[in-house]
Amino acid sequence: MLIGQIKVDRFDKTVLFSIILIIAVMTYMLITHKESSLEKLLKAATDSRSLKNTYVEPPIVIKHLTGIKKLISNHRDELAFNRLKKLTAEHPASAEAHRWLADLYAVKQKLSLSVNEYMLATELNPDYLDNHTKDFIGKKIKVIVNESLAENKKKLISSPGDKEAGKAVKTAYYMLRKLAGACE
Amino acid sequence: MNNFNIVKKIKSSPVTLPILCGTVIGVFGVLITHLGNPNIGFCISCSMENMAGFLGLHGNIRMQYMRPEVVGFVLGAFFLALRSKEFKSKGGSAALIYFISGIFLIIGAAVFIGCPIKLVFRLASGDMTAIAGVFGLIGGILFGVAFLRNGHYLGESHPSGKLNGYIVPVFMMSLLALLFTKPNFVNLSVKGSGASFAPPLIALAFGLIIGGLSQRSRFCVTGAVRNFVVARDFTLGWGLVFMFVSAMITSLALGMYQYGFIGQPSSNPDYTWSFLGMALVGFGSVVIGGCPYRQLIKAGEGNIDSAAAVFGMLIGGAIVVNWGLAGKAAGTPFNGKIAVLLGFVFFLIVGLASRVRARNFQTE
Repeated sequence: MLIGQIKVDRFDKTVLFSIILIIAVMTYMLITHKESSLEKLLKAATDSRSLKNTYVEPPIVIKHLTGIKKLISNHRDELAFNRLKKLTAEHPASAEAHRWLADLYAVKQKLSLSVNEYMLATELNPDYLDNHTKDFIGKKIKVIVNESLAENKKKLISSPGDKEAGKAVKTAYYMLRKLAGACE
Repeated sequence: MNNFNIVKKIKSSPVTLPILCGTVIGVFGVLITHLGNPNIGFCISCSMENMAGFLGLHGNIRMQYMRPEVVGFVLGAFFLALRSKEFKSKGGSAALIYFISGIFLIIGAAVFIGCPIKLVFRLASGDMTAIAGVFGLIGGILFGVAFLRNGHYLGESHPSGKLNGYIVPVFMMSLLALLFTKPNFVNLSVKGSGASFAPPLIALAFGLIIGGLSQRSRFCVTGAVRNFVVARDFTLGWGLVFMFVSAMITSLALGMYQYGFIGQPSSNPDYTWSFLGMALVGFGSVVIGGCPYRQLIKAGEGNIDSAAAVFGMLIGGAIVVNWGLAGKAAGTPFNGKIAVLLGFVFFLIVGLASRVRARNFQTE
């Protein structure tokens, strides 16, 4: 086969086929791609911040959180917990609300739920895992993640089909990777 | 007399320098992490992302630092090349192709979360998730070798004005000056990985030594595999083996070794994309004749095409951060996947278009 002045051999054909195949795969991926709920949340959170990569809580959330922190220091955990649940539902991009909710779940020994909340908190505000910042709570999170992992692994041993436990183990592994850090 | 002969034999052996170079890279890479650099070892792609941030080419406040070891790599090679009269300002065969290849090499490495050098460090520190990258790198190199065997050739390098060869070394010296003088237009992270660094003078010294040794030994991760596949020449391969072993021993000695798949730094469970990211790096490195690290060394020796690749790598670092292409703990971002596929298309087209065909394939 001749294209222009060049005789096309088997190698050319294979490469051309590969190029067409990759472009087809890319097109398919672009057409079928959908953002996950976490991606949407992070995008919304980033858009609402004044500076890229700098975490800023909206004033209304700060006001609510001040009251909630007072409740926690007065040992009124149940009331604080309910208010935090409401606050995270209304303001899902508030890292600090997720972080306090995670703490209260840990107090209640609901470790998987606690890890889920820590995951959201650390996605929204990476300073929680950054030991260069005053917000760093990585050591505490690591302890809870490891406890949750052990608990859910036990559950999986006794009932291997437990989907909730499987999901919790996956989340714990993810958090352990995040805690280990990266060059990002 | 016998001892003298042994020393003479070791000195004249072609594997001595690669072994020495590999050993020094392995030890210094783990040491620099122990002294404060982010996990683990040297990484050209992470460094390029940091340096792009330092120059204000991206806005991620956690990734802005000028890595003195990278400057050291280039300057070490530059000074040694000058001293041994191997500094030659040459190139110009395909500068733009090298530039864009530099961008895609960093994209592929960022998707894997590490350049080929860091791949070795990850494995040596017990990170078994890096195995996908090993297969990817070897696969990519084999793919590139198929192009070499079918006539891939980017053209002859020509001698150029000496000034061209000095551009990257002088650029690196300027970056170093900016790091120490800290004018207000450069950015330095106060948090994140950009705020994690070894003492700059120690990092620079490590870089200079490694750069010099790499210039003498021609150390290159992808080159080692390529040479073995093409010519059954394992000279550079010994350097790689000793780099792995020395890095492993050092990380064991410093308590930094952590074996397994779980909780590894700079890792993710997207093994397919880790494989493909590193395959892109392997393929691209064969197409342009050297991994990202080797491009730095060649740029230090005055190679203008490699200089173009180095600037491409810097821009690649900015693109990776600005467009969110790098692999994360959660997996490979969608944009990163598309970018890797685009990289394959680019290198396939370059490989196809730059074939030197046998006489019987020419127009009659």
